[in-house]
Amino acid sequence: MEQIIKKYIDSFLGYGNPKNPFWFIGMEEGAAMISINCKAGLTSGMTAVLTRPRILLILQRQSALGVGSLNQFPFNPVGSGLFGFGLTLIGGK
Amino acid sequence: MFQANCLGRNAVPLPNICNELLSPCLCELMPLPSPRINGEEWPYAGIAEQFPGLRFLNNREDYTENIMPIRLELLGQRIQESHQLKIVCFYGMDYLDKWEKVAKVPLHRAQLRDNLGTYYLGNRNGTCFIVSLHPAAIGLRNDYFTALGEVMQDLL
Repeated sequence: MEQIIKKYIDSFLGYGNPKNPFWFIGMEEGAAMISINCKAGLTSGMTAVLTRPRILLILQRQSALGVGSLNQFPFNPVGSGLFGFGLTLIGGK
Repeated sequence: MFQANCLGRNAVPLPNICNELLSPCLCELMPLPSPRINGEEWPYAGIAEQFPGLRFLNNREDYTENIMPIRLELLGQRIQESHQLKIVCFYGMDYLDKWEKVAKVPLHRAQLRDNLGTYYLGNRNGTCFIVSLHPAAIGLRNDYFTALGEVMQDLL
């Protein structure tokens, strides 16, 4: 899990097509803290850092952590290769 | 229509309006999202406690001190390698010093038409760098971005 987060921090750049002649760069993506109800296999009571294009960046439940994404947000991640899959918990317990 | 269906996406629901190649690259200098840049809410302190290798996530100050130099270099390097890149638009004049480090060139203040506002501009190896006001800035009008779009069009 630690390696997943480190890789994300070190390599994730954003969304869209990096081969496009236009890049738009902001300081930091906004987010909201939300509670996750039991949905598609996620355990009720988890907390996520919610962002608009990629939901569920970090999931927390006591000591459990995870990183995931929802498939209804088909944004194209640039850099990390960690996201862009369906609703899958790729790290944590 | 374009923003709702195409911007930043690779699975395009309206292929007659946009395609993957039309979507610009949308980047963030700092990788982790959070509720407010200047707020006290920091979502990642629990992670720092759990993983020794992520202690820099304990608070925003440590996170910024450890990660920002790496990210400035990463973004600058990726821009340098992107030979097709024509225009890079940075959001937020408060971060001008950071954007100059990414662009690796000084950015100079310029005035939009009809006194609609100011922006910063620079050029390196055929890539133009623009710093605009942040879209969430109070009192900002659509005219500002219309005029800035005209500037970009003239730069191409």
